[in-house]
Amino acid sequence: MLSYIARRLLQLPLLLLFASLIVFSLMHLAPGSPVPLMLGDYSDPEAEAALTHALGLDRPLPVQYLSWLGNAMRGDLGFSVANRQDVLGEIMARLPNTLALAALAMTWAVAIAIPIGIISAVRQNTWVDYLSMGVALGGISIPNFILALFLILVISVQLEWLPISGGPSVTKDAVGALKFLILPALALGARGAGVIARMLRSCMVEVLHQDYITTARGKGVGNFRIYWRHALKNAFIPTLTVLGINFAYMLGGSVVIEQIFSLPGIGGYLMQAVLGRDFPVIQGISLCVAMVFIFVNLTTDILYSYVDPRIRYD
Amino acid sequence: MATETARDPREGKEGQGILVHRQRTLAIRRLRRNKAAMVGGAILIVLILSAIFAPLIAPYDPIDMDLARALDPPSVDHLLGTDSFGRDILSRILFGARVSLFIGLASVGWAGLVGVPAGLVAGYFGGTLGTVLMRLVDALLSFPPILLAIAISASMGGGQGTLIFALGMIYVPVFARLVRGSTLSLREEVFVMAAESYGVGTAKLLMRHILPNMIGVVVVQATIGFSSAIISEATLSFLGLGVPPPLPSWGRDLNDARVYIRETWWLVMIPALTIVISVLGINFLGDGLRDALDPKMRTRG
Repeated sequence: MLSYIARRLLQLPLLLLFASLIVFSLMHLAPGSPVPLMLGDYSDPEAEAALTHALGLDRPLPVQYLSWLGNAMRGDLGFSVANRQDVLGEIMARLPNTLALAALAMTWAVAIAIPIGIISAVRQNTWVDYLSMGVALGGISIPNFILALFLILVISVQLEWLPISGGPSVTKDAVGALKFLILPALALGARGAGVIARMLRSCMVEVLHQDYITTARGKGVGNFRIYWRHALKNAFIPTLTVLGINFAYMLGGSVVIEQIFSLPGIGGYLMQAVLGRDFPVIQGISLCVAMVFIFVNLTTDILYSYVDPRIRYD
Repeated sequence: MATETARDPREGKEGQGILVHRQRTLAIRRLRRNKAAMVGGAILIVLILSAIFAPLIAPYDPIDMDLARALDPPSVDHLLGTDSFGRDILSRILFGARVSLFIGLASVGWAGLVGVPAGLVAGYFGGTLGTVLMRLVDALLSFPPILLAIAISASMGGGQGTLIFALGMIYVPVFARLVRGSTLSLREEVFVMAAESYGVGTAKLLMRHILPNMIGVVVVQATIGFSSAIISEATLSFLGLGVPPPLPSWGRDLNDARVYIRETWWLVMIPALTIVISVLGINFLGDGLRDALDPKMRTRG
C-alpha cells in the first residue's frame, strides 16, 4: 500500500505539469491572437499592442509557458482583464461558496443513496428495486440545470417556499446563505445520488451473497443489523471511489447551477469571465479546479487502498 | 466474450466468424427481451426520424418570427405554442433534434477517432509513448468534463466545429483509457499470441484481432457518451456557448424560456422534457446493450 501511495505521489508533479500545459494552451487554441477577442468592440491596434505586451503574448510560447507556470506556482495567477483584480484573490474569495454548495449536494446525495441502494439490493428484482433504480437512472439522466429549472418552477414560483436566486456569501452569513443553497444543492446532487445508489446496490447484491452474511444470519443476527452494519461496511468500500469522482463532478456542475441561481461562487465567476473573454480568469479557475479535482481523486484512491488493503494497484 | 473466442478449438477466421456471429445473435435476442431498452430504442428512432424529416413534418419554419403571436399558449395553429419571438415551438423542437443528434454523434465520433487509436497504441506498445499518452489522458481527466468543454469553447470562440471539438475532448480520454485497458488484457490472450507468432503485421493484428473483440465495450461507451454529449450540448447552449443563434437548439430555447418561467411555464417544460426523454431513452438503450453484450455484468449497476 505504501508503495502505491508513493507511486501516486511521484506521478503527481507530472500530472500537475500536464494539467497546467492544457490550461496554458487554452489561450492559444484559437488561431491568431486572443487579444482582439478579449478587447471585443473596443479593439484598436494600439490597445491590442498594449494588452499583448501586458499579457506577455509577444514572447515565444515556451518562455510564456514557463513564466506563467512560475508565477502560478508562486500563487500569482495574473490579473483580470476586465477589472485588473488579482485572479487568485478573487477565486479564493468565492471558492468557499462553491465548496459549501458541493458539500451540501454531496451530503444529501449520500443520505438518500444509502437507503435506496440497500433497499433495492435487499428487494432485488422486485418492484421496489425496479422503482428505485428507475428513479436513480432518472436522477442520472436529468441534466442538473433542467432539474434546477423544475425546482424553481415548483418550489419557488408555485409554492413560494424558497428564494429563486441570489444570496449572501457563506463566509459572511452562513446561516442566511443556507436558504439560498437548498435548491441548488438538490439540483446538483441528484446525479451523484443516482450514481451512488446504483453502485451501492450492485455492491450490496454481491456482498449479501457472501459467506460471512450467511454466518451472521445463522447466528441469528437481525436483518436490520446485517444490512446496516455487516453488509453496508463492505459494500460501501467500492462506492467510495464513486464518491470522490462525484464530488469533483459537482465542482464542474456548479458552473451551470451557480449561473442559474446567481450564487456568488467560482462557477458564476467563470461564466462572467467566459462572456467577457477574460482569459487569465478562465485559466486561473481551470487550474484551481483541476488541482482540487486531482487532490480529491488522490485522497479517495489513497483512502480506498487504506480501508481495503486487499486492493493491489498496478 | 474474448476468452470464449480464444478457447474455441476451431482456430482461424471461419470458426471465429461463426462464434462471433452466434454471440451477436444471442446479444440481439437478449436486447429484444429488455423492455426498457426497446422503449429507449423506440425513442431514439423517433428522434432520428424527426431529425431527418424535420423539413417535411414541421408545420412552420423554425426561425420564422411572428411577433404578433409571441408567447401564445398551445393551440390548434401552434400545437406546442410559440416562443417570445412568435416562433412555432413544435417546429423548433423537431429541428432542434437535428442539432442535438448531429452534435452528439459528431463529438462522440471524433472522440472515438482519436481516443480508440490512442488507447490501442498505448495498450499494445506501452513504453514511453504509452506512458506519455496515458499521463496526457490522466491530465485531461483531471478537469470536470463540463468545465473543460466550457473553457475550450470559450477560448476558441463560437461555432459548431468548436462545439464538437470541445465536447469530443471530454470523451477522448474516456475512450483512450477504456481501449487501453481492453488492449492490455487482449494482448495476453492466446489467439493474439498465436496471430503474433504467425507473423501477422501489427496494424492487421490491431485492426482484425484486437479491435473487433472489444467492439462491445466501445459501443456501450459510445452510447453513454452520446447521451451525455446531448446533455453537454444542451448545457453549453443553455449557457450561451452552443451552436450560433439561427439554428434551433433545445438548450438555448430553454435559456430563452427561463425569463418567462413565471408566466409561461410550458415554454420551459417542453424543451426540458424533450431533453430528459431523449437522454433517458438513450440511457435505457445503453443499459440494455451493456447487459446484452455482457450478461455477466447483469448484477452490476
